[in-house]
Order: sequence, then C-alpha cells, then structure tokens
Amino acid sequence: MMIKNLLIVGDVNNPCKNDVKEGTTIKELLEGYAGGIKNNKQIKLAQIGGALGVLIDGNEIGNELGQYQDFLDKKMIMFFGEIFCPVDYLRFITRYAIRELRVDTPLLRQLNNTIEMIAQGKSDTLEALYSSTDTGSTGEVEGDILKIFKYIVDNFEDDFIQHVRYKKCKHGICRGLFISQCVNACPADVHVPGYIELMKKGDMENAYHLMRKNNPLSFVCGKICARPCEERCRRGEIESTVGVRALKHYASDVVSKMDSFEEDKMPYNGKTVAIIGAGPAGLSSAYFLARSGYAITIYEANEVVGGMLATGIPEFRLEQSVIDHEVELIKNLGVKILTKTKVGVDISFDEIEKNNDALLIATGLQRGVKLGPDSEQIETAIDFLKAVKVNKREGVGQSVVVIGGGDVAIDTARTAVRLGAKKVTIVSLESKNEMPASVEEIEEALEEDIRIINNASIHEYMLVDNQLTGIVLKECLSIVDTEGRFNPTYDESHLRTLNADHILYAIGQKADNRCFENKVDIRHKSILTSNEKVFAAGDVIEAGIAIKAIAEARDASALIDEYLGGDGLYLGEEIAIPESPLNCQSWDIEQSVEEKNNGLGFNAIKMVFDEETAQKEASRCMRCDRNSTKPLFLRRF
Amino acid sequence: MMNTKKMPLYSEIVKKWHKDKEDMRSSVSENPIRRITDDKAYTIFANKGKQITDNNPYVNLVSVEEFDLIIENEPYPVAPVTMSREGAKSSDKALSPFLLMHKEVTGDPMYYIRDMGISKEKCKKDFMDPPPFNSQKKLNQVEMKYEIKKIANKLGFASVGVTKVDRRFISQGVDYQFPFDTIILLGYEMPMEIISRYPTPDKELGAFGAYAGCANNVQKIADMIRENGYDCRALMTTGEIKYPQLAVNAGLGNYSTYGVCVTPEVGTRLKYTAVLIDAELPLDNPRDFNIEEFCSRCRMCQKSCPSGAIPKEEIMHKGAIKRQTRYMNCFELMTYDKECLKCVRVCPFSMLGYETCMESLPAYYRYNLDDEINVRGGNDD
Repeated sequence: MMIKNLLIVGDVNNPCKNDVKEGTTIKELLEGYAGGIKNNKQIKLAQIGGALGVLIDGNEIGNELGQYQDFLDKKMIMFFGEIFCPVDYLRFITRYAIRELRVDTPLLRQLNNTIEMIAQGKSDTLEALYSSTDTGSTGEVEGDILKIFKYIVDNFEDDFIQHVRYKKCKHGICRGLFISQCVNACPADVHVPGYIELMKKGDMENAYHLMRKNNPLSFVCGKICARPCEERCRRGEIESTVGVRALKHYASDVVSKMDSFEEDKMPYNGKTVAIIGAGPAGLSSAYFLARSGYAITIYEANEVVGGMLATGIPEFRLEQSVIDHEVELIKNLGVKILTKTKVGVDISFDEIEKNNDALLIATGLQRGVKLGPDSEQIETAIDFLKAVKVNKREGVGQSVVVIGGGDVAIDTARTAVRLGAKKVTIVSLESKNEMPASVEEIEEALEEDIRIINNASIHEYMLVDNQLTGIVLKECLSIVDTEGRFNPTYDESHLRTLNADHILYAIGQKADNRCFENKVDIRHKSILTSNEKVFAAGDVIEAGIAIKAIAEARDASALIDEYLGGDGLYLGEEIAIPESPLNCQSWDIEQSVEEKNNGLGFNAIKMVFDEETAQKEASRCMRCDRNSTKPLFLRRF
Repeated sequence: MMNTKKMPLYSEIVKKWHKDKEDMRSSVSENPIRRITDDKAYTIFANKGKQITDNNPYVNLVSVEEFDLIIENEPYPVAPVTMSREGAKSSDKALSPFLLMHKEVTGDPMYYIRDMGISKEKCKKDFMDPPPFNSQKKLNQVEMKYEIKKIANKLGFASVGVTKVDRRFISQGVDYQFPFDTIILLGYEMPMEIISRYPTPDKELGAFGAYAGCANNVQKIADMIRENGYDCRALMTTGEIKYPQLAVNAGLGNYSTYGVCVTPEVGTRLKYTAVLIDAELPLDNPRDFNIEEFCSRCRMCQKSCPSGAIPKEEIMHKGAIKRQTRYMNCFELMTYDKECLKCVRVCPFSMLGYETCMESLPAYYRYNLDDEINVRGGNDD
C-alpha cells in the first residue's frame, strides 16, 4: 500500500511531502527523503500522526511505517533531534490541547500545571507527575495525551530528575531554569552575556574579572574551549552565533598586557589545602580556595604546569606562555606550585594528607591506551603529543595512522603533519557524524589534507622483519549494543589495507592512581571520596573537556570550604552589568570571522579580533539574561 | 423673560426614559453593552464581538467582569491620551515637530498629513451621508471575502482578516461610526527598505508612510466593496478602535512583546486600518502562531527601547494579563526621535521573517502551524 503525500518534517535537512510505501522504514524516510537530522545530529524521537500521535524511539527507526497503521491517516511524521527537552515538549502538548484543540478539562489543566511547575523549577519531586499520569481518562484527547505523558516520562526519566533535583534543563529549553542558554550550556556557568556587555562598554578588565569568577583559566579557554555556549547561542539559532570564545580570547589578551590587573583575596584563614595535579581542575581549585583565604600547595609530577593543557594540546593551538600567564596570576594569590614532584615518589601521600586540612586529587588521566604488538612504531597519542610539545621531539613516521575519533586524535594527526609526515590518516570507529571531535577541528584537519576513514578498525598489523609496514582495516557495523554498551560489531569480509609506518593510538586514557591506591577510593562522577578530607575533581572522576574540569573544581572548592567551616567561596566584588538599550540595527551586523591559523607551523594564532571587530561582535549579543523568565500565561475560561 | 414653552413633568421624562431603555433592551438579544452617547446619555448595543474576545485563548483576559466594568465606567479615550488633542488647533505646537520632521525627511510638511486628512474627511462625510452602493450583489459573501483579500494584498495590505467588532475596544463617543458589526482588519505593510534605513529615515517615514497608505487604500477597498453590492464604511486612522485585540480575534497574528499584533507576513512592520461591512462574511478564527513562544526567547524590542516604554514583565491591565506600554515614554521618542521605530527595526519577525524565527523553536511547535507545514511540502499534487 502506498501512503500518498506523507508530510516529513521536524529537525530534518529537507522537509518534504512524498508518496511512500507502507513497507518503508522510518530510517529510510529520515535518510532517504528528509536528508537526515539537521546539523549532523542524531535522532532522538519520531512522531507519526500529528501532535497527539505515536512516539517512536530513535533506536526503533528500523520499524516499517505500516506498523503504525492507526496513525497514518494524518499523513505526517515529525522527527526530533538531540536537542529535545521532554518537559518543554509536554508543556507544548498540554497548551496545544487546551488552546488550539479547545479541550480544557480538569485533567489537562492538572497535567499542564504539573509540567509548568517542573519547567519553572518549582517542583522538587516527580510525585505529582506520576500521580497525574496514573489517572484514568474520559476523552479521546485526554487518552492520547496521557499515553504521550506516560511514554515520555518512562523514556526520559533522567531529564525529569535533572529538572526537579538540580533545576537544570540540559538542552537549554526551559527558560525558567537559567539566566540564558549560553550560561546554561557552559559547565562552569560563566556569565557570558555579562562579560560581553562589559566588553561592549570597553571595560575589558571587569569583563575579565567576571569571567574569572567562574573560570580562572579564561585565557586558555579563549583559545581552546570546545565552546558549548556557542552551540546553544540563541542568536545562533535564529541567525548566526555570537563569537563568544573569540571575544573571551580578545578580552583575556588585552588584560594580560595590563600591568595594573590585580585580584584581591581574603586574609589567610589558617587552613592549608594540598592539591595533587596542576591541570585545569587543580589550578582552578587552587585559585578559588586561595582567593577565599586558604594556603594552597600544588604537587605536579611534570616539569611544566597545566596538565593536559600543557602536554596534550599542541603548541599551535595553545602555547605554554598562555598557560604560564594564568598560572602567574594564580601564583600571585600565594599558591605554591611544586613541579617535578611526583606524589608517591618524591613525597608520600600520607605526608601530604597529614600536613594539610584537606586534599584535592586532580590527577586526571595520564596514561594512554594502546593495542597491538610491542613496537616503537606504535605509540600512544598523548605520549607523542607530550614529547613534541615539552621535549621538542621531531621524529615522526612517513605514513602515520592515528586511531581514534576525538579531539586528541585530530591534534595528534595535525601535529604529525607539522613534523613532516607525508601521509596522515585518522581511522575512526565512529561515522563522520558521530565522531566525538568538534566539527571545527575535523574541518581544520581536512583542510590540512588529513584523511579520515570512518566506521573502521584495525583487523591486523602488517609487519615485515619486525618493522610495521601497514595495517588491515575492517568495517565497523555498530559501536554500541541495544543496551547502549560499547560492543562493536564488524564486517570482516570487507577488508582493506593501508600503508603505515607509525601508529598513534588516541582511543582514550586511563588514570594512574598508584600514589593513593589502597588509601582513598575515588567514585565515578563524585567529588567526595571514601576519605572525608580528600576530594576529587576533573578527568579523574569523569573524562571531559577542560571547562567541565574547571566547573568541577569550583564545586569541589565549595565543598572543601564547607568541610573546613568556611562561609562560601570569595569570588571578588560584585560586578554590575550595565543594561543600556541594545543597538536596534543589531541584526544587520554579520558574524565576524575569526582569523584562523593558516600554514602548518607550530605558531599559535596571536589574536582573533581587533578592537573594532571585538566591539562589533559584542554588540551582536541578544542579552538573553535580560529576558523575563516568567511562564507564559494560559487563560482559564 | 419667562420661557413660555410648557415644562414636561418629571414623571413623564422618567417614563419616556424607561420606555426608551426597555425598547433598546428588547431589541438586543445577546451581550448588551451600554455605551455613553451624546443624545441619549447611553445607548444599548449588541456587542457581537464580545463572545469572540471572551473565548479567545490568545487574548489573556483573566476577569471578563472586571474588563466589562472598567470599560463601562471608563471607556477607552478617543485616542491614546498623548495623541488625542481635543480642542487643540491645527497650529498646536505639539503637532509642529511632526510637520517639521515630515518636511525634513520628505521635503513636504504635508506629505503624509494631506492624504490622511482627505481620507478622514471622506470617512466623516460617509458616516453622516452614506455613499450609494451597487444595488446588485455581484459576489456572494464568500466570494466577496476572497476578493477583498486579493485586492487588499495588491494594495499593500499584507495581513487581512475578518471578525466581529467588540465594542469594548471602541473609543468613547464614536459608536455612531460603527453601524455594522462585521469588520475587515487590514494591516498595511511598512516596506522593508524604509524600515531598514531606521534609525535615520531618509525620503520616507515608516509609520506615517503606513498611516497615509492605510488612509489612501482603505478608501479604494471600500469603493470596491460598494461596487460589488455591499454597504460598508472605511475607518479613520485616528485611534477610534483598538486594533491589536481585534487583529488577534481575526486570526491575523498574536500579541508581541510590546502589545501590537505581530503577523507572520510582516511581523510588526505594519499599521492597521479597517472596513466595516454590512454582510456576514465568513469569520477568521484566532490562532496560535507561536509568536509569544518566540518572543519569550527574544525580547529584543524591550531591550532596545530607548525610553523604557516596553515593560519587562506582563501585568494585569484592564482585566487582562498583558504587556502594556507606557504611552508617554513612547510618544516622546516618536515625536522627537524621527518616529523612533526601534522596536520594529529590531524585531526578528519584521526583519528576518517569520519562517526564520519558527525554525529556531523546537520542531514540535510546528504542530500549531499545520497549514504552513503543508505549504512548505514538496511534490504537491
């Protein structure tokens, strides 16, 4: 049977209307007719039959249309991508039923009220939601809506818990829960519209002060942040994003050249805190605690400060001098940093624990993971990156293969290119759209003639006289199983060979916890450890981007302060954010293009904007923080 | 000198009063509304549009009773207090900045005022002495509506809709200008190229250009309607009726952050006028265009308003939850900052288009817009 004029809409590249067969799968509709989900995102849900239709999970899109016979008469399928908030969706559905369908029943009012309370952060539990969805329905619309409620509540429990327990809408849709979408998207809650406004007024110093309230590594982030804020910039959704990172870069750079920049701190409170690891988490925590009056000592095994920033991010993206500049500001607050001091070797963990009132473990994930035969030609990416950046190593193979699909893989490949490798190939298990590396980095890698092979993995190593000459690749069919666990499946009948004399593994890192093994247990995603005076933050509790580690450092610092009887972190004086009228011609101002690092040298780009461009870019901010967060009215009849 | 005419008895006057009112009451079957009129102290009208407003989910009435009472006790003034200058002479000093502004921008102080004046006189004359209309109905009511839409669009009215007059939104003392209850709302577009030049308009003004456009073209629509066999009256553009509420009732759009009705066609780049028609044209239904949802994530007009006339939060005003602007602040800038129009200039609906705005909302909001989804589809047969 043919379904005539099926409307295919939603978060898709190519909304269309088509005659399709009932045997067509939903996946074929999405990929064949609608051109896939917009912005290379994954599908979250599909809905057939309009607003009250049936919902289909993104994992079930292999199903045929014919399975949803009862819902096909509306001739509509809508696709929802990753940025989907179940709370806002239900809020829409209830408002739609009451206002557009004019079905205004006590049950729908109750459902709407319950969901609106959650959307506004006024609900601490999901009890009301569970009980109102448990009631029976009388009408057809009520019945459909209850079905949708039950489906959504069952399938998105985590999101609901986030809304009620942490008052957080991770996708930045429930505007009653945040200052602005960008602040919400930033793990460290940096007040983006605030510092942009200060920059607009030319007050770079206060802009920098404001950034540092949440992020003491603002200059570093101005260069390398993965910028989750820009991804959720409201202006970006309407037109094109505000160049937040570039603005941050500009302000940090201007302030770094000022001699007058100073930060105040609380007087010494008599308590000492030791921090193991001078990476983003350790440095940030040192900053927050030092400003609040604690005496801080950081123990760092490497000769350089900055952790992965210093050893894992290549010079062409982040120079050590930028890290050193921010470290200098942190040292100015009295923080002692002991480099080349490996805990467990140069000083014992017990001694540190004994001599301090509290201790933060921010050791990160230092050990690279590699597979394959023991060979000098097969290395871990992070050892390679460190050797190049810190020890100025120059040796690299001619045909380099980097295994992995994340940012480290890209950095490694680009570093290999700069060292003179003739051919550099990245082999990623994931498809192009699923690669964890940022789109921007992937594009830059492609510009440098780096080849990316997706959906592939090493089947075999080709060795001649113990020398690596190449690899055999097999095709990866799927990465996770139906339960969502990492369990790749391969097609070993489709093999291909690739010349390679140097393999760099960028498939993740492990923690090296030897220094405190058997003394403290670290729990996944938990700042608290098995020892009440020992805390943990950064990659060691959960791998992530730098700004995530910085955010955890702030949380950890607050907990340490609380544990030591403090009355909250001191983050500097309140900074007033001006509220002058916005430029009414704002929409005419096009996004300023950041100056890019062209050429294959190791020199990092010094400045992305000049003064005029920075002012112009800053005036593009919509200042969403000034919006009303009150719920929209829903009138009663 | 004594008045020789016999004074009527008080009891007779009372009796006549009661009879008059009783007649009026019995002639009005539903939703009677008492309106202060010159001749009879008050007149009872049937308020045909009340039911539409009271049941419109997009006009946020909280208390219908409160609204009714406020309007009965204190009807809307003839125009916003800042604009109505009853008794003021044309040489009024408050008017001269406008004329000077018109002169400097267009080269002619009367560039807009002339057309507006001519149309106004025509409207006044038509109310006193209704013009003839074709005795033969060339089109039926459905065809008539279709034709009005078609012609109006050609004349520059981007948004057209039909509803019933809700007399609560008519200003005090002008009910006589509303002999019919079916009203055709017409939104005249302020062209993009003119608005784009703001805040430094050149050669043409946005608001006055549209007022003049309304004044000119509303008469053409009225003539066309009469030609087709229906009696009608064009309305003046001097504020005798509150357009936004009626425009929302007529399904033209939804309220914006600053009170005016935003339309999908041109956003807030429009000025409203209307024609009253003696016909039961099919009415348009109020609709949700997701405009308040978008506005709640934008508010650029509020943040750009130099005078603070646009409130950050909704408040209860005349029985409804709404964003009531401060006339005084706005008036000052309209007059002394070349019409200002910053709220229009910064509105994404006006400047970037409705589709762009809708694309930025979560996909499911499209469910409100079934028709639009259909229009967007490909392979249409």
